[in-house]
Amino acid sequence: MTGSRRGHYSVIEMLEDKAASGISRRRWFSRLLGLLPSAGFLRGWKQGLAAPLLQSAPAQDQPAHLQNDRVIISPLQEVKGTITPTARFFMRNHHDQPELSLKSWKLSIEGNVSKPLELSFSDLIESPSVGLESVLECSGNRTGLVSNGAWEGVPMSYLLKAASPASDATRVLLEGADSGSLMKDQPAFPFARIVPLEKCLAPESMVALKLNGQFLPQRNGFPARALLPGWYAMDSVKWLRRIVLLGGLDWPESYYGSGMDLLYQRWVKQGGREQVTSRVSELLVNSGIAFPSPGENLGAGQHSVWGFAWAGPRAIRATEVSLDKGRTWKTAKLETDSRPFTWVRWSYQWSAKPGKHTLMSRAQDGTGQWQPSRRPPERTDGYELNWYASVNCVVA
Amino acid sequence: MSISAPFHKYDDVCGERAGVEGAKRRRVDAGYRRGGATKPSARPVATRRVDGGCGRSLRWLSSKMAQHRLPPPALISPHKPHLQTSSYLWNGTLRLCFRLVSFVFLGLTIVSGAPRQQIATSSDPTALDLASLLGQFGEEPSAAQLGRVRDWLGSHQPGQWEAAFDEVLKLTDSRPVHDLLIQESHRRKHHASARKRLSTLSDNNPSTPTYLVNLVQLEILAGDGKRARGHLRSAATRFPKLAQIHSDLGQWLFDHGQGDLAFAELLRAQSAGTLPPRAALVLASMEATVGAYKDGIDTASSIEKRSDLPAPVRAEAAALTGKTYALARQEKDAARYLEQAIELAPEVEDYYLSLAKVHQQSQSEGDALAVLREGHGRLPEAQGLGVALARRLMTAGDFNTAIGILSGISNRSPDQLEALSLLAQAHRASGNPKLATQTWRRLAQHQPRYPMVHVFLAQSLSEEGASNAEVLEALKTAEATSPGDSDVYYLRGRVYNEMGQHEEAVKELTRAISMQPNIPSPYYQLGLAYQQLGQEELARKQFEKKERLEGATSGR
Repeated sequence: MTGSRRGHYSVIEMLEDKAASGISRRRWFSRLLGLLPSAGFLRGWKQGLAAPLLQSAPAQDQPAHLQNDRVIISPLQEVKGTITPTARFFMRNHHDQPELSLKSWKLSIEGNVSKPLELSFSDLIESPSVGLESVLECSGNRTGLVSNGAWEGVPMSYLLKAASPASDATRVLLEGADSGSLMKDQPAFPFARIVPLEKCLAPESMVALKLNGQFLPQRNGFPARALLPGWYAMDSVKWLRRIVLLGGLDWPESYYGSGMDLLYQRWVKQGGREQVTSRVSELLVNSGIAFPSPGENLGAGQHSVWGFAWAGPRAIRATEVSLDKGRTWKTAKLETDSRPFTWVRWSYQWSAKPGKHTLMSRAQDGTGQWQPSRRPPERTDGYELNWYASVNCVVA
Repeated sequence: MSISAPFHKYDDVCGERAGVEGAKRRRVDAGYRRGGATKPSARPVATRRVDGGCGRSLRWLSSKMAQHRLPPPALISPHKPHLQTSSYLWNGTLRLCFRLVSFVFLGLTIVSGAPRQQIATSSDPTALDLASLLGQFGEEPSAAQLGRVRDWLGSHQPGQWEAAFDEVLKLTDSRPVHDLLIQESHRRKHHASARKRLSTLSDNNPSTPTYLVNLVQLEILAGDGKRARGHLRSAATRFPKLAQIHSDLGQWLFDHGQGDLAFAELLRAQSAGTLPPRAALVLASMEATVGAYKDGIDTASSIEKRSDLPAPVRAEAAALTGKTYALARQEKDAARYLEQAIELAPEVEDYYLSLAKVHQQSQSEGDALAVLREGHGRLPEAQGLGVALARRLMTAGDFNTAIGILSGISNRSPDQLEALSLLAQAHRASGNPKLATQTWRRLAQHQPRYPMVHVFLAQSLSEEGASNAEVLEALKTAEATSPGDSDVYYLRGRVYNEMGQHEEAVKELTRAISMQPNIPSPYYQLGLAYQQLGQEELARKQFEKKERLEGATSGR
């Protein structure tokens, strides 16, 4: 992805050029080392590709921060440049990961369409492709459940248009292959989300096949996942297997029957009564401190405090750092281009003196909106936790 | 050969039947030359088909005549004059017969209502050359033959490219020739005209996959992935069950660096039918690489089970199955398949290494060592096995055997730098710092940029008891080659401490700590330096940090 600023569409880049092919080739060949049949057998193919060691073929990088089978924490300090390494990409699942076979897996596009489609993995690979650098953040992220990746996939608009949606289709059900019960004593339902058709037709939305140049790891949705950049991650459904176009009166059982419609809503307590106000969707402006990490011991002297700031579909305008628990704020330097969907890396040069310190960061988006200093007290749900980021550290 | 024998194949020769047989006949057909084709000076005017049909019949007959003609009189040996007259007469009679048959045949086709065709005469020497050349091709044309086709193509100006392109496509279905044609179109930057011709042909022959395949190849070579994907989608729609086409495309795409598209095509081929073993193994390795372990195991093990295949092929399949099981963390099955691979092909070094790796992965260090010993015993010249065995022996504390193996490898192959590096470490661990220093020097001379070699050399010199000046000199080189290595500053700080230059030591050690704050030993040396400088409080803090870090890392 380039750092060019060419407006909303500029971040979407067609990957079907020669350079991209070259990268693809190197990646494939470097990853296939050790797995390909040996040179003698592959005579006429790529001599010398067969490396002797199994250790040179890590097919799927093993996550280092596996909390349990359903959660992986992503440490910001391990981000190189602006991209979270695939092995460090966060994961938060509702159900157990399904193991899918490419031989039988299909993505169907159905519902209110005049041309229902059933697409194989090959069909998707050979479809027009787009690439986009985008943040994915869990709606309940306070720390460690946000990552930024270079995604590649098929524009969702291309697939939906190929199926010819009916004129009354306004919503889209995205259904994954993982299933389970959201509530006790309920039958298992597949994980599914309903999103507006308009968002699916947006140029940034895609059926993602690749993350950071490699096919998705199984834990991140292999073989294909929805990616709705700028929205909280629960709508970017993993292990995608069905896209169903819905009319205004359609009432899919897998969604409403499972209780999914009750999740990801803003709950507000007003006058002693809790009520739902609206659906959680677009990312709010947020920031995180990568260095120092919480509780870190540092030597006295000059240190570069750094981290990231993001605001979904809006670019970041400014970031600031506080060394006195939010009483005063100092401007941090934006190290990378500020663009929609991705995050910006910031840094601040700090002359650390011995003692205990609390460092804080806050960001402002393109509309002038700053991160809030605290959680709105009327909110009773667990989403959109975007108040100031802070870390405690000790300088010796 | 009887002249009349092939008559019953008239339709095959004359009609528009596609396929290799038809193409072969057309090649033979087009290869006719009247009156001595092998001699350029005798190159005559020939008939040339313009729009198909009966012209082929005529030319087919003519080609038969050409096959049965005798050498022209001038070529008959003057030392056998008794043959000359009779041969000449016989030759003339035979030609007359052939011509009569031709005319009768042509008359019959006209009378029977066969479509009329234009028979154009041409004196185009290039066309005739190509037709003749292609007529000589077997199933796999030689490089020299392809070179001649390339020369023929090269004789055309840009404006003639479409005609040349058409000519080749009409005359042959040979894959290598088509590949050459696409490559030449790309090399000569005739993409637009080649694209136009192939698109037209593809549209006009919707049941023929060749043109779509060629279009994909052309676009990939031209770097137009978007168009290539479009053609691949067309191929998928038009020929969903033609496994061979998708398999060929997959292999070609893989060979041309298009891993993703190759993967897609090989998957298509697999779902349409059976894959050839080679393609199946490439697909299996791709499936394993993307994490579809079960698919990879299924694909590879299906090849391993085929007893009709040669042992090396089955061994590769078994090894791939085993490696995929290892990736899926199923070590027991992994070991089983890798053992099978060794049994089928005991001469392949990789299988022993992979099996040892699997044993290591399942914490069976003894089994890993046993496999490496077995492999080294069978393949004593295999360097990878030797190095792996030595490494394992060093881990087990058997430095002398490791030194023996590594010395042998590094003497035989001075370029085996890993062996040299291990050898130096083995000497050090066995209490021979002088030999370690010598080996590091040897490595540094051979490859001055080998990672950290100068740092190790300085460390070794220090342990050997070399003078401080010598160690500092080595560290100077180490700093230049590895400026980001905190060990350089740590070692220098230690040397300064020994020299009594404690202020210098503080500077170096502080730098080492800022680069790697979680390593205990620099704190200890820094504490010593502060102690010597009379700063007891600071010294105490460093010792405490050292203790704390050692406590934190002791569990690792």
